Amino acid sequence: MQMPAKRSKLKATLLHSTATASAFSAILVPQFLPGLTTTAANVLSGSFLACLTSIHLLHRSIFQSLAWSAARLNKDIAALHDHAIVSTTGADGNFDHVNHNFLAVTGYEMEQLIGRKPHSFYHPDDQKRYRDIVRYLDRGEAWTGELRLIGNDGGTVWTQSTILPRMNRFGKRTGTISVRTDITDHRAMVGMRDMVASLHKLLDPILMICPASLQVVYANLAALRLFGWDGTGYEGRRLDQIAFAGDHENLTTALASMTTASTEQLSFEIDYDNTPFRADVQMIVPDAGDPRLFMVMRNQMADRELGRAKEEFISTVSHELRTPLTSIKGALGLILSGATGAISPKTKDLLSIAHRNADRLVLIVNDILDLEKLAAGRHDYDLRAQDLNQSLRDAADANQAFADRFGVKIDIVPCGEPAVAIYDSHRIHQVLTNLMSNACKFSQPGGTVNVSIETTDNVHAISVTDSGAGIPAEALETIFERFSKAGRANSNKSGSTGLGLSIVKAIVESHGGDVVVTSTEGVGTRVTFRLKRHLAAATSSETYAAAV
Amino acid sequence: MIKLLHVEDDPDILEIALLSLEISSEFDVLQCDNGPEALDKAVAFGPDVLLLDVMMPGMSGIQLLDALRKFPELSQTPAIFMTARAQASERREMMLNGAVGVIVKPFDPMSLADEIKTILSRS
Repeated sequence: MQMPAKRSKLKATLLHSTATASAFSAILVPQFLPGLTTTAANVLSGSFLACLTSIHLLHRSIFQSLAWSAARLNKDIAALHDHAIVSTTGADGNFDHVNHNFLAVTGYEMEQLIGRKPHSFYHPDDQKRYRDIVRYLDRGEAWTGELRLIGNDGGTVWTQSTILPRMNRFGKRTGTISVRTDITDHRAMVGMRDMVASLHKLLDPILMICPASLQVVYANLAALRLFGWDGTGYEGRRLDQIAFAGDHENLTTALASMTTASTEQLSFEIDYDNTPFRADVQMIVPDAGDPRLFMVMRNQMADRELGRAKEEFISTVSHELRTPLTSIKGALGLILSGATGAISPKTKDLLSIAHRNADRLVLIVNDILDLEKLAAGRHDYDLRAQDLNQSLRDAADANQAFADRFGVKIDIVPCGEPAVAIYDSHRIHQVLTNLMSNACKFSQPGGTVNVSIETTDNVHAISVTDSGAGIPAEALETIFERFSKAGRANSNKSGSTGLGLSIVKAIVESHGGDVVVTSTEGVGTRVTFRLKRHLAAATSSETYAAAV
Repeated sequence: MIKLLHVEDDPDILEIALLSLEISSEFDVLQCDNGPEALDKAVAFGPDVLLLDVMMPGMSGIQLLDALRKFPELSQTPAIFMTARAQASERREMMLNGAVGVIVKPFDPMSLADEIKTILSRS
């Protein structure tokens, strides 16, 4: 029978030890312990033999263990290099080695890193951690935590890092070893989970919809409550199956076309369960995965009630201010007309001052109420495609009597062809009246106010130009502010409310246009407002409720 | 003479309107300072035109017109609202409530009579 190798080695060792013990018993014992009996010498040599055997076996075990540990360490280091991001720094604190994972994850080349300080690659928000890390390392302790690196493409690489100091035998730090794990995907998942958790708790109902099928793929808590769905039952429901009222058909049609029309954002007014909502829809196209429509529904009930309250307030203030003004202005007008009998010239002068200022107060009340209405978005516009040439002529006719008071002529330079735009004629008449009356007030007697239209591909630019004293450059900056009188010399005498240009700007902007003022002191002022050109012909019957 | 029933809660405006209308000498004016009084007197007066304030305590001008319309004699009488509520939507609402015109306060006392006649001629 063949003996196992391990036992064979043990036998050989024992034989070798037995021979050594025999020599111990035969030679060394009689020499150093001459009185010892043979039996005692044999016992002693047996013990010696056992000791020798134990020592031998212990040495063998230690050597085997060391060899095994070294092999395992080599394997561990290889595994570490395979799976982790490893870098080391020298005594100067600069990279002296980075492994291939470091290069792969960060996108740098070796030569971009070697000789550079590791913290120069830290994310700006993590720079403050550098001092903490150094404190740990100086104490000879390892630092562990999340650390962001900036990759070669400028992107952020999230890492779970352990940085260990390398110390010499005198306890001085001679470098570091850093072992990192890329946790970018994990962080992204955590970020997405946090985002979804936040979305879920938002008060506004939110739906995520597949644009191709219009199927709801996500609904937050507010949406679940609004539509009476449970947490899972909404999947597979289509948007067009939800009982929206109002602009429902347009909503589903437009949403379905968002992918093909390359439209990223849309807003709709829709009603659900007798509650008005504004639905803001945003197309999200992720780098990976299918495009999605995010629909945020904002309850408009409070806005509508606020609008109604503001309208009511404006209406009430209007009534409360105009009613006493009616009496003041009416009484003064009747006295001045002589309807109540003759009055002395001095009395007439004084009553005229009162009457003029009552008129001015009426204008201010009207202007303030107009501005409030415009600011509240309660335009109440009657929008039609109309010819601006006609509006200019109407406004010039209406304002010529006013111009005559200042000895000024209004000269219209119409466009050679119909200048059609979509606007509320009453409001644009108000704009033109404000601009023309301003121009007349600030022109010298005998001067001319020029009103012209210039048409480009997209816009009609209507300019009202006077030849007055002009406006100082610094005053132009605030010219559209309420009660700004633009530093004009005779503004107090002009009867201006200081609100006219604010109203002009508000009206023009609410039509989707803009206003520009240019002025040269001593030469005059030009106010130009622009309205979008409408390419179809003007019509008196076609209305454009939603055009602006 | 045009028989005009004027209903207005503000006594100052009543007085000014009366003076204004007397200038033209074409109006026979009956004035009331509230709706119920106007309802009591309207049929007997037999107005050709109603000039009604809108915001009055108790019964508004619009409610008064509704009530006056229930009298067969007044069912077709032209009505003009006089109001400080000058927003376009409010004016539209008044026209929808059966008015033939709206005069906005503050009105010009020297042209009030002409303004009423113009509205009547249009209607």
